[in-house]
Amino acid sequence: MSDNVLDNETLEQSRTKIAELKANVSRVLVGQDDVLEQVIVAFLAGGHVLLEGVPGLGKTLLIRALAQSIALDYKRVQFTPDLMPADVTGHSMLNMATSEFEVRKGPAFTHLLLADEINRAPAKTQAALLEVMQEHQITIDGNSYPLDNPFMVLATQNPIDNEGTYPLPEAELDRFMMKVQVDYPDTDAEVQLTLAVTQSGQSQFNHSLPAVVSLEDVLALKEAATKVLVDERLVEYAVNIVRTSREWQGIVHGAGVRASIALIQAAKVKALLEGHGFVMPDHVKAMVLPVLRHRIILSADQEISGVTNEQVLSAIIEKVPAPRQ
Amino acid sequence: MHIDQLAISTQPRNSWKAFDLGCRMAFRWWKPLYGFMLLVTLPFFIALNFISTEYGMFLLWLLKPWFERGLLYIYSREVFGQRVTISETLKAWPSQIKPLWLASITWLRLSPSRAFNVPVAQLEGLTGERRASRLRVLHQTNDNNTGWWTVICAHWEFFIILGLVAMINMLLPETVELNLFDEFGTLMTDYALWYNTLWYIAMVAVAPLYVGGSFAAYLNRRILLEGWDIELNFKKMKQAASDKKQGVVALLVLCFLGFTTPDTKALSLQEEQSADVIEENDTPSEEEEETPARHTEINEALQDVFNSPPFSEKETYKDWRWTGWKWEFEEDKDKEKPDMSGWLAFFAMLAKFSEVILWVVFTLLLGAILWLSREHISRLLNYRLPKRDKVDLPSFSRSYKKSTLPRNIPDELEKLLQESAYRQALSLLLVSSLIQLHQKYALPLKESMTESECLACITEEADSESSQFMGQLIDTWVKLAWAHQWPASEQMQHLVELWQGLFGKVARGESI
Repeated sequence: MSDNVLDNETLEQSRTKIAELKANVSRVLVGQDDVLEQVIVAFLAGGHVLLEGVPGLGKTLLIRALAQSIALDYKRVQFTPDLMPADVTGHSMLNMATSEFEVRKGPAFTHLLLADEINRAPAKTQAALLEVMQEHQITIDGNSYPLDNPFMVLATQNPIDNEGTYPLPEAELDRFMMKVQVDYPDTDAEVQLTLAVTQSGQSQFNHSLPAVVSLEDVLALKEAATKVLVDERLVEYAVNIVRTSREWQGIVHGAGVRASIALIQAAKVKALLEGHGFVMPDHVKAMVLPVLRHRIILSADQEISGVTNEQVLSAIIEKVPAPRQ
Repeated sequence: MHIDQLAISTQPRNSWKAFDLGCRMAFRWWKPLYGFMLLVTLPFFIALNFISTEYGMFLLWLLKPWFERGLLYIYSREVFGQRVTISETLKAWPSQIKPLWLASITWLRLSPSRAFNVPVAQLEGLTGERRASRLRVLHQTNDNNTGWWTVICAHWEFFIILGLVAMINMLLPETVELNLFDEFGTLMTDYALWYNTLWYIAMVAVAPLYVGGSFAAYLNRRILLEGWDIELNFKKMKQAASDKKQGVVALLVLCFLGFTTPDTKALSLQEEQSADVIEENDTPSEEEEETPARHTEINEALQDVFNSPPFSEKETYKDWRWTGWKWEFEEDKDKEKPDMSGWLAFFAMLAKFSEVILWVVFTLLLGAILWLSREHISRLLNYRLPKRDKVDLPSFSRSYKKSTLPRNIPDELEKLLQESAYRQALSLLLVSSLIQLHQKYALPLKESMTESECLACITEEADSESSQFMGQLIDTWVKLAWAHQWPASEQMQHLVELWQGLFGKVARGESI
């Protein structure tokens, strides 16, 4: 079999590893299976994730649990209005003893970076993440420092309490592969969660999870994801959806080229996660909402009439014919 | 009709006084009026709300003129001294609705003077051009405020609703966080029933006043046009006269006054010919039983009166007054019609042509509204519209579509299998199976559906055998289409056999 095609054994191993990872994180993060799956997809596809949800839904816990489950380095930065770019990326400072400048690496030098409440920091600090997210390197005093692989930024923002916040610029939003909506868990999950915490008398945050996936496993999974077969018609389908968003009545600004790429990358991981060595139209469809929802801007009249990005995207999915062979 | 039995004073009034009189009539006969209104409208209100809280009230509003017919029936009897019970009104109600039953709830529904106009159709029994002529005469006054009366009554309804909402708001305990004003502002369907009930109360409260005011205005117009007050006064004079001679003189003067107002007489005659309902109560008067000789005698005496002062003095004066399109009147047939040649003929033709165009536009608009509202109407009537024939079925393949299917599918499949053209064979199997299943189960398929979505839909709607077959077929197709895995010939043969077993109706030589 060719190196570019996934064999059944690799497929099965990949599926099992991802399932183990999901199960491990789900031990502490209850009732957020879809969110977890989307975060894992973005992680293995090499993208970054913007998590949006009201406080108390386990966004930080998710990232912490994910980092523990993969035995990766994890850093958290609380974005505040007085946070400076150097506080994120790092800086050089004069060592009085040696009279030389020494580089002090910031929290961005990690595998998983949690940018908590990213919209509370001003634009220049947010912009500091641009290079980090796009090029996976940080430049300090003219010297570029590559970041470790894997590297992922998980930013969170609160949809309410918007006073004193700085909405993320479009350029930065486009660099997030997905925007994942974190909603309240359903009743059963909430009951289960409440029982688990109250019976053990221990906060979920105090749980220490064993690592079930090694760094090598992650790299292998990422490699496997790139080998998932994608038919040309499916690429056309993904591009059609993205292009339709640019021509859709009620959308002032549609998704860009990065969206088509992200859609296919995410669909490949989604296929791998389901144990398929090839992408199906369903995989593309399933990734449309998380990949495109933050990349479109609705017209004022649509927003006034209460139409959401998700509703418009669902209409686009309904409109675009499924790919034909 | 005995105007001497009128329960109201026959003095001429202005329209506002007439409306006031109508309200007093409503207060006086409130029992049959409100009793009838509640008995008739309440079942409709409950039933229509049950059907739809959104459209039910619109229907009730549309049907309101029918309920008002019953109220007018009560007024028309009571005002002439005839006692009417609710049960009598209920029995008479269907017959009262008959004249212009459809028009009153459609194009005449929005007429601002509809309640003023109704007696012409319902009580006088006039229709068509005669009704239009009659209405023109009735409306030919500067004191025509019937439209404003409708506006005033609509405002009363509105204020009653506001008052009721304010009252409920005030009565609500402080712990209940509910402001009905806000809820009505957002048109929440949760509170539609509340709003409907309040509107219903207002409607029932105001309707008798509205009909009463309009009917009083109608009677007032007739008093003014036909001189009922004068006639009644002379009748009283005649009764007061003890000897026969005095009676004859009084009768002479009465007749004389009748002849001196030709327009009024014409209207009275026309009214007498047509007012079937009102005429039911009429009995031949003494005057009508006079012999022709007696009439001649009266005419001669009248002529003598005419020839003596002050009637012999004639004075002529001229001024300009708008008297409406008199040349259209039926009663003016004998009169010389205006010269319609030249540019007038052109404008007359243009007017007729415009009328036709307007009717066509109106009909088209009505049709368009009905067509666009067909979904709502079908929902309202609980009727399921037939599905459109044109369905965008997902074909999954560019090789075959519904329109390009071969006439003999089994032969075509056989041929494709022999040529190992599995992609086309699978495509043909998929498209033909989907069409068959769609025809059989009316599957809600769309062009944007993927293979898995279609399969899910089939599993839910179709029988297990078909679902199983489609599961195998779609799985094979997906592997070929997206995983580029070529199916084995045995597998293809098996699928074709299954297809033939399932869709046996598609026999050789038969098209789908």
